[in-house]
Amino acid sequence: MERLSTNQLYSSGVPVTVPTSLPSIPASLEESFPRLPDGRDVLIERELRSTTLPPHQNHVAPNRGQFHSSTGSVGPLCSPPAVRFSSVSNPDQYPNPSPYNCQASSTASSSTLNYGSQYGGFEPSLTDFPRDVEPTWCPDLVDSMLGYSGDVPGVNNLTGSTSIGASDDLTKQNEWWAELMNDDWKDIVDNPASAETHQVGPPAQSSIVVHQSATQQSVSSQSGEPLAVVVASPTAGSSTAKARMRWTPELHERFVDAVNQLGGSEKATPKGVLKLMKTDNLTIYHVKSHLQKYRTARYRPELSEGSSEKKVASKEDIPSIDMKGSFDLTEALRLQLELQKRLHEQLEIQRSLQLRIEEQGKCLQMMIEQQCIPGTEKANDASTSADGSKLPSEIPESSTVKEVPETSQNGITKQTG
Amino acid sequence: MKFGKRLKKQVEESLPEWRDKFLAYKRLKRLVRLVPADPSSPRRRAAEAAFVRLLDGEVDRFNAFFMEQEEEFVIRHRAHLVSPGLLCALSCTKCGVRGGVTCCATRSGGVVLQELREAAKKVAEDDGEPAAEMRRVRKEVVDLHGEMVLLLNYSAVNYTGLAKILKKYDKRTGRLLRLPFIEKVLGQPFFATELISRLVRDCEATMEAVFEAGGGRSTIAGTTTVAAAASEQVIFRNTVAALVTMGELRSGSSTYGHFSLPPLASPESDLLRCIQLADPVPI
Repeated sequence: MERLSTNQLYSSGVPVTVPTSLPSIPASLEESFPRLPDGRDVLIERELRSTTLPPHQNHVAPNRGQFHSSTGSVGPLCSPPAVRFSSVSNPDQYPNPSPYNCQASSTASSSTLNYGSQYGGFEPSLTDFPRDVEPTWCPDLVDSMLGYSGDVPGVNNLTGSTSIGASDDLTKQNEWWAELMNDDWKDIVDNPASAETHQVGPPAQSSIVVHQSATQQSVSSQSGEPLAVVVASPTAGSSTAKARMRWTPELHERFVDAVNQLGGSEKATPKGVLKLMKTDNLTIYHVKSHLQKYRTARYRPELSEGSSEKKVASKEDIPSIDMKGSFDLTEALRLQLELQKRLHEQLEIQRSLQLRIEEQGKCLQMMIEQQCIPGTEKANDASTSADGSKLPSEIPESSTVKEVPETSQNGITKQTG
Repeated sequence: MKFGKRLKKQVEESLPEWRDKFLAYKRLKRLVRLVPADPSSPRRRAAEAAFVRLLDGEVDRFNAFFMEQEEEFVIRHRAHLVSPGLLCALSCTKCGVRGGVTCCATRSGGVVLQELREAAKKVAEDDGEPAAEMRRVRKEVVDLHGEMVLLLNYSAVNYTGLAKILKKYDKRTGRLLRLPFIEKVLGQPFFATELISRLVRDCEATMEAVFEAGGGRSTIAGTTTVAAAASEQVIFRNTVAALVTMGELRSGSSTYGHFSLPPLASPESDLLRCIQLADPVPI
């Protein structure tokens, strides 16, 4: 496995988990895409408790998907650092990789698997490379992390990689990713713009949170500026460049056009698609992950098509019974749809209500602040202007508006339904 | 029943991959309890900072998951509804080739719907392969619709949870963390569900067209057997669970305030009850 210029990668802020993992992990481990044995979860949990954090309940569940799923999040609050922490403080647990070999989802090339699983688990968030480190880590853990910065990368990759549960889908994704990754490290090198933005990212934005292991990597590797990464203040989310792309139907349409121009989803390459789309703020990572999703979405209908055709063959033998069966199925579908529509309806109503409630809450707040200012006109203006910006809803607005000035700030009001 | 329990139930009933994506309500609650009520206490600021960090982390998590799902839905929506999926499955008149990928370019919504109706009517008459294909595609569309609605529900549940936990925090500490934070949340992607709503409505319109041709409607009265069949579907069960939970959550509480939602006006409550009876697996 080639060792890519890690310095370059480190400085670009790209998750460098992959290359560094290879030298430090014995070959036998490279073949395994391990599921975390339960013991490891327990280990982590113990570590967490020992660091006096509020213990997780659901987050250290046997569901391996947990770590995988916090793709791009540090949601299980301190578990990423804890994972690191545990890996560091119990080094004797790790050098023997055999426990992790047992449930390997083995595929062909070990090294690509390594890549793959790194990314497979975090595939969705590959689009949001580690610019932003969500500072949800507790300070004491962070300190210990920084202390181990030199040592950790290798071990850490192990934890990062082993924390991914392998599933069938994931395996496919892994392989696909592996290919892409191999091809496109060059792209990364060619693409200084995106790399730079990634580097700049860390201190400021908290809105997008990225791979846990990736962030751990950047912390450890950029030991020159760890504090900047870690201490970032949780800002109010959505300001500048979001690493994650919001795919609208229009954007997707252009994507599909580009793909079709290139001869279909199999033939199209991310680079080609990106060039054809000519969209600002769209990076090749966005395109890559989207392309992968697009391919699997196509793949699934083809699968079910095969099975339904088989069903049809058997159905033709017993037509009379079948008519009723299919009728029932249709009815069941209809029922399902009806319910779903109702749920949707209710959700919409609830949402508009909530928005209005918040509007009025703001309004109340303003009125409280303006209490000292004599001027009921001001209060009235505030409420009517808030009114204008409300979403339309079936509930008559006039009654609730009247209610607002009348209620005392501390009183309990009953919203008219 | 308290929100935490309801949330837990909802999470249990949700699609497996979604279970760990919901709000970590319990943990947040514990954290709130740990925050010292006394503002002058030295640990107060640190505890508050930790709380805020955790909240931010949760919000980010929601955003990530939501946007990822949204992306997938956009892809599936187009694949099933707008272009090849449905029309070509019904032996589209233009290309005559089934399953042709590039043939059906996007046309205006109205035109597509009209063609759908006609094609569906034609197909529904015979019961051969095209009909089975149409059934399959219909199921996919309904499932897609269901999943999208569940995503909307996910967003709503998490929002509610956040609002509640913030309320608890404010109550305990006397601070006013809630309003600015909630305002920030309102602007977050996971709460900006308009796109998904639009896709959902699209699905609904399409399914209207397709179901119309597929035969007469049944009355709600005859639903028990149908419900049994339907309730084997995971998505269906989740939807029912979501509706039930929503109804319970909004059935009035002891802490009714001016930030509370009114009770859920539920005309379908009998339907739901009927379904729950029919369902062998308790919801």
